[in-house]
Amino acid sequence: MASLVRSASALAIAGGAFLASRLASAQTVTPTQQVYPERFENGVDLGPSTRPVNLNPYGVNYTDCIGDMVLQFNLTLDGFTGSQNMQIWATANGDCTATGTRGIANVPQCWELEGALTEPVIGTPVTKSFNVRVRDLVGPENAVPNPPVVVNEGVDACSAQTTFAGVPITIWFLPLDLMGNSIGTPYSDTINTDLVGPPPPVGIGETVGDSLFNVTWTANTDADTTGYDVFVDPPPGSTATAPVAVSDATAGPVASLYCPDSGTSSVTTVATDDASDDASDDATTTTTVASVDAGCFYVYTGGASASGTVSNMGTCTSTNLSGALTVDSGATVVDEAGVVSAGGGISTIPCTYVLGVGSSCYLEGGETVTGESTSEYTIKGLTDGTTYDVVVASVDGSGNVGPPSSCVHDYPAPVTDFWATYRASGGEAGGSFCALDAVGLPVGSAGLLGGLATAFLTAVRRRRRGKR
Amino acid sequence: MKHPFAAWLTALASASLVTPAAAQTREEPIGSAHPGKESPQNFAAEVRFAAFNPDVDSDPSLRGQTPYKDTFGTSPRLEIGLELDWQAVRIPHLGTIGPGVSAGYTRASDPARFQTEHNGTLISGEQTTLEIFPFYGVIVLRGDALWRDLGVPLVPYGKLGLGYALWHASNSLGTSSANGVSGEGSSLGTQVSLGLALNLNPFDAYAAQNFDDALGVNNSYLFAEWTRSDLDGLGLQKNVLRVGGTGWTFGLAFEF
Repeated sequence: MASLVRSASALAIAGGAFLASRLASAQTVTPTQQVYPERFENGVDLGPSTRPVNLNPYGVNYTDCIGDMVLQFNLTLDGFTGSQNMQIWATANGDCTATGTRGIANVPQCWELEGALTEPVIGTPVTKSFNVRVRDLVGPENAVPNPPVVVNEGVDACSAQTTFAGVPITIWFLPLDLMGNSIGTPYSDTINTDLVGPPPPVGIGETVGDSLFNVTWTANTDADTTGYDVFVDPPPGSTATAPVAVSDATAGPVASLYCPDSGTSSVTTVATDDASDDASDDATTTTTVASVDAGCFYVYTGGASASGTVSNMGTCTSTNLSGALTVDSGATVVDEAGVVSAGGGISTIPCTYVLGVGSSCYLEGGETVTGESTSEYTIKGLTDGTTYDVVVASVDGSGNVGPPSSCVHDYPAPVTDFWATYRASGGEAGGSFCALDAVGLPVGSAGLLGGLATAFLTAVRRRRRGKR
Repeated sequence: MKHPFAAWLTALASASLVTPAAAQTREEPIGSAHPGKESPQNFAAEVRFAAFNPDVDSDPSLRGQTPYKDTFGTSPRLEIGLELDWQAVRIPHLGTIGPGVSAGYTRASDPARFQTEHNGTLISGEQTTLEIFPFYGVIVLRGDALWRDLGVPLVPYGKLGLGYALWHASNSLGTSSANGVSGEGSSLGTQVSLGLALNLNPFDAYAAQNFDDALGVNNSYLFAEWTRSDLDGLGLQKNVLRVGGTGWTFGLAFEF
């Protein structure tokens, strides 16, 4: 009898263990029809991608991080009996299923993200949305919390990446038993994170022509650059803001260094007319529009140009400017030596200064020029006599704009080309390829030539036929 | 009694009329040292390179001013071209005659000058360019009797016909315009050339024979040619940019 009881107990234990193991392996996390996570910023659904297809559209870049983007995963869960957890982990090393990678008796290589489900009971498949903040995804990349804690990163996370090469980060949605062991079927998705723009181009040079500005640079040779953004201030078609003196560049009266300053470039005062006729007691509202520019330029203030004639003073890296060029209030584009020393980083120049960008940076913020080997660009449509500041920044395959180059500045001026010289000398040709029209014939000279050729060929054929 | 010269001319004309080159397949030496079969010869093609300077400044309406020279200087520019001739008729003991057409391209481009000094210089960063697309249709007479009859690998030739060129003046912003007149047009005129071609077959008769066997190329030449393209409008065009010129052209020619 006792043996029978022991046998029954053993059978029950074995059956329970079997059932428990079956239940433990039944937890599943599977993706829905969603191929890529949906992107949200400030609660607005931006869709699965916010960039052109050539710019790592399903990855994460610096702009996504600064905007505190949230990646929303819609996943189907099943088989949770209340004695399991579902946690979200991320790693730059590929795997989070092993307990050691999550800090259990080991140095963690994964960090936990918000959104875990604690002991859920899910008997039938249920689709749930899980939000992953980009900042939480990229912040701990180089400093994984130990012991593990659920991360909640701030804006500093966007500067945590130390290399301008992209870093793939895998997000794990893990069914775990109460001991933290990975059970069931987890789901993972790997996202390429690239938050550092390529290094700035060097060797910036410039020439100008009639309403145009040629900027040249030494093409980058790194593995990250895929193109360049050319920044111009003021943007073509806009009006330059009034410069504000920052400091004297030299001791002499020749020139002063001017940089448009943030917060003082455009001040509008509006008076509200009250009931009295006395305008002096009207309430006024002052609006200050901050301006940000991409560089500095000189304005003559002495000598024969006392009225403030704008003139080029060479590049910002010239000895004239060395030690004088300071941080531009709106955007730090150069250091005191006139060069940017960073080996990577991100431009802080607003995208509205990128050539060709209209009102929407998202929709129109593509690269100005593509191809790492590109080393020149001509900005057209400028106003003669207006000084333009131009910097160039490298762009990577994720759309990150690196720190800007040193700046160059100059003003377009009228030129005389061959055609103008010819016409001014009395030449009267031109106007159309159909030059015979000038003497009243209804056909162009090309037509005349064609006719002559046809006549010749016809004559030859007739001769040859006649001899057969 | 006929004048002997007139008789010769008559005989020559008769022979030329009844002996179209296209119908001929002769067994003649490809190279003087290597007799063999020769494939039919109907055409000639030339790859042409010339140091070219257009006669823009010769326009009387410029009254001695030299806008081309002032802008582009006096250094000649490379002109490249292709010519295809149909050797329609073979004149025994003289050579071939037939029509030929050619297309080419050349351009002059230099920095435009500022109207007033800019940062101590007049040289701007803007390019000013004159592009010329010369065409011509000519009658080509190639006197290859020296080579065929006497084995001297020299072929004098001449071309005479009409020249025509499209031209386009531009700057970094596109087509130039001055006083509302765009910098584009065409020029018509005459075309004449005299040249001497050196047959390369004797230098490697075996290769020449293989060239003919494989591709049907009968003769290969190096040539030098004096060319005069006088694109002054022929009286049909009122105002012409004189983009023709006089100069030397060198290149390779192939008969096939």
